[in-house]
Amino acid sequence: MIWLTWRQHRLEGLVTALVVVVVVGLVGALVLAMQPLLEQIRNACSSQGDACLLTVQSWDKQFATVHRFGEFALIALPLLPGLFIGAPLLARELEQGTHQLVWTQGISRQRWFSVKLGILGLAVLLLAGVLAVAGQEWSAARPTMSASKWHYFDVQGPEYVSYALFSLALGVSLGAVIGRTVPAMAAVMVGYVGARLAIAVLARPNFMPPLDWDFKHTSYASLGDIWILGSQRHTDLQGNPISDERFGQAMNSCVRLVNDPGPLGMCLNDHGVQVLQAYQPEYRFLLFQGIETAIFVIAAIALLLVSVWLVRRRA
Amino acid sequence: MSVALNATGLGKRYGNRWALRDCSLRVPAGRITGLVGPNGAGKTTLLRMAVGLIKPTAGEISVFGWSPTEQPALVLARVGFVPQDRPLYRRFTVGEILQLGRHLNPRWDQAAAVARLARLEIALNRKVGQLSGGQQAQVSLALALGKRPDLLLLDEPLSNLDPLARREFLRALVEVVAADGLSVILSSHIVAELERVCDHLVILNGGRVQVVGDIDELVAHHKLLIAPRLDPALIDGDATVVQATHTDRQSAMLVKVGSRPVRPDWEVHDVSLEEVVLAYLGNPGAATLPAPALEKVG
Repeated sequence: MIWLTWRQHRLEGLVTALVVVVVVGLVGALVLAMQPLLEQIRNACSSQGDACLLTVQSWDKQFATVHRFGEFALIALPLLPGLFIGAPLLARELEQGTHQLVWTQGISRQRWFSVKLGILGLAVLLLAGVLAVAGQEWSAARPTMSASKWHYFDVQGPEYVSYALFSLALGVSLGAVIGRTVPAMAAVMVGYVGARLAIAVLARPNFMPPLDWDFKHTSYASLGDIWILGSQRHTDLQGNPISDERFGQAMNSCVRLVNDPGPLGMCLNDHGVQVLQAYQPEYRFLLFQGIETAIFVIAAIALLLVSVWLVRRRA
Repeated sequence: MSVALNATGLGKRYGNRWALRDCSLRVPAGRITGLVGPNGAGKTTLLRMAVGLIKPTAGEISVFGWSPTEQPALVLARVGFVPQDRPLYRRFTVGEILQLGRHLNPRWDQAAAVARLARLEIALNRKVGQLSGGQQAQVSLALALGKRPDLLLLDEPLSNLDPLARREFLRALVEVVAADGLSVILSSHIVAELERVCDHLVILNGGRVQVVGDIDELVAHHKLLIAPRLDPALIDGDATVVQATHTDRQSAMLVKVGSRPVRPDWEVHDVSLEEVVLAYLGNPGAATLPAPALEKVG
């Protein structure tokens, strides 16, 4: 069975491994190439000043685009196991009728399926783990003042591995349901992107109720690396939304302080108005990683159980 | 009589269409049984149920007494199956197909499989996708036989093969049966080919079993009667009319003869198996009862 799994999937396996090696090589080389400038930025920006601004501009010119591209590539890679390993796993057998061949040999189809899933799942876990480490290095190689680590949530850590696992499981189950390779691949593409977007955009900001920052407390800087959610809200002191008109009136009274956020906030407070910003604090980063990982791992396990059931029931 | 495959009230429904219905039959062990019927008669459904690829909607099926869905390991260890269209992994070499069989089957006879392909001059390092249809059929057969089955199920194994390849395939099959004495169920809609290798016949028609019996008996018990124009209801004796055609002056009737002789003034002709099969297939309502083998005499 191990031999058969290797024989049937060695091409996809080797191509995937090659992609991972290339990506890791590029990440490593670029991260090394970025180090001198990042070091300069760190030194220059330990104090506020033009030198900091200049080095960051230099970063934007040299590396910002490639860094964004690398990030995008890392985000897209976990789709591959679903497309090229998961979707064809059952769909190709069903399409070409070879399931009738392999399911009528002397080992049970449950055994056939579980060995295949086990080997391929482990391989995907391993490769995704390597990429997650590369993603960690990649997201660390940035001027820390210009982008929050929340921005790189999707390309590092255990959640990255869970995406790959989810993608594989989604591919396997859609392949089992649809029974044809190319439509199954298309469905994986839509399903994976849809699920990732839904969690990242709708669910993740609300894994825990966001906190509110009141502008009277000077700047954000004291909060550390936070995730800013949405735009500022104007409310009364009880937190109820107020009309633009009422906010305008308060602003008019405080207009002399407009360049001074803290005192401006105090002044607005005196006029019964708050300026609030929802955010997730830095200390929740690990927790959020854990929640996101759990969601995709549980989804992957559920999908795999559905596939096992489909294979057993397909009789 | 030892039984290889037994079905009682077996049925499979897809939506509101029955692919196979009320199918009750016993296929004897140690024989080559032909399964005939038009396309859509339920042949493939029956064979797939015998290897557990399809679960029955109604009734039961057993192979050597085991249920293919309840005890798949026991059934699949003893049954070789060549599915319709003979699917194979086209990117595998012939040797890798045998390796698949060796890895997935507890009792696998590599030497015999290699020898069989060598006799047919099919090199083990050839890619399956590059083989001719006849050679692919032989590889499928070698894979099915490699597990040393007691029962071999072949679903339309001759379809899309040229006459020479058909003859080669049947020859290989007959050799194995002669040497190992295994049971075979072979589906086809080409009666002439079945007649050459089979000794037992099952006719499936419209999802139901129409005839079951030994080919010799089927041929012996069916006659063509030529009589002056008459109503088939007036037929004398206890013969059953399978098919009747009438001209202005004469009636020709293919009948299953009974115990009493037919009227001496009628002409009686022997018929071929093909004529018997076609008569039944053309008249789905005729004699849905099991044919001679299970009929009581007198």
